[in-house]
Amino acid sequence: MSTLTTTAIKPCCAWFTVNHLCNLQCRWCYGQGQSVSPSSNMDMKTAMNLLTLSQSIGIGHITIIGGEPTLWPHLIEFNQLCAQSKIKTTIVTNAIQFSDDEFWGRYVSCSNDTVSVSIKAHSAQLLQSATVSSRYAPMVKGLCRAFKQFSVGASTVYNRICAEYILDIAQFAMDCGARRLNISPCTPAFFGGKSHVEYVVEPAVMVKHIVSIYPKLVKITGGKFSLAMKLPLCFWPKDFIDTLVGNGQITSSCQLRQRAGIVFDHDGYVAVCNSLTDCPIGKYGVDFNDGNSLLSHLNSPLVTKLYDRITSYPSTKCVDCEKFDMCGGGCMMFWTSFKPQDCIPGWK
Amino acid sequence: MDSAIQLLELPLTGIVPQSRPQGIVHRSVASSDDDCDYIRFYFL
Repeated sequence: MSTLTTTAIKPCCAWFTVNHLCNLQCRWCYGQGQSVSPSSNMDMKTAMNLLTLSQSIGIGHITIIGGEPTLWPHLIEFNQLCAQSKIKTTIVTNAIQFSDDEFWGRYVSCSNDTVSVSIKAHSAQLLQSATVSSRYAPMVKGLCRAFKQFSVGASTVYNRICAEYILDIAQFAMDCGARRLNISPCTPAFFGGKSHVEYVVEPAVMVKHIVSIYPKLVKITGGKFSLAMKLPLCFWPKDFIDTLVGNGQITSSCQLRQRAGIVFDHDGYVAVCNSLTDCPIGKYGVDFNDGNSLLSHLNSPLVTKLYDRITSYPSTKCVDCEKFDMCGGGCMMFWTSFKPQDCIPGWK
Repeated sequence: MDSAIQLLELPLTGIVPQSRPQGIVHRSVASSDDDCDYIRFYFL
């Protein structure tokens, strides 16, 4: 087995899972099956400790996720602390809470540096099918506020419930004021020791559909969309990949492949990916207490062995592939359910 | 760590790349380098 010439793991960005409460509870969300109480919040002391620890190892950007982090009671206070510490923050939100005038007033006075808005549905009917919420009007109000205030794009998940409406969702996003749209395929969720694929669109079906609707996506968004390549590039027609690359409409690989990020759960557990918080690799106060001990833990033999395994080539066809640096072999979450050696066709 | 051990059983090759894949992040997609860091992470 070959090894990396540089094995040191030193995260440059972190994700704080500050709560597990959500006002939508999308049916495809990886969080639905996680073994944690929806009422679990990161307390302010833990948040401060993890912020100090993160800053001590050079992390300058924190992404705040949930649950739905706008429901986290310490959000404004934490934003103030990050601003004082010169740490930039991004919040990932469905924006519904932004429709609350009182909250919005407090939030914009001490907001995150940027906002990543996730759109779940384009209609009241789809919202009810896809989530536990019927708050369509507040969702629209919150989305419009977010796009106007922060001038950002939207993201949406391509899943079994929403796939047939993806063009409607794209139109809805642009009508609400999104600057661009990122479409990201739903990946298997892993919890309870098992992989769950109920909401994952079968890869061949997704490829055929996305390729067929591409001209309409371009027309609706003015070309301002991107496709997150969670599948290996060789699943797609070569000329389609070339078109996406040429038009700047593609993103691929992730922090896990680069070992560049770390995910903290509300209680100080640390995971390598937010889809794997049921498989933590350590805990604050137990395995590490500060930046140096975190780095020591991340570079311990067992954690290194784990990183090596999950970032290894998914198929032998990837080993000499000319596109691997761009591709990264796809999202490893797929390989919790699909056998890569059997299904990766290779770049021919 | 016990639950993470099961990830060692994933059906991957075990052959570790000599360099870490850079992937693709277009500046037209991301509004800033910080945004790129976020975009590299899988969307929710």
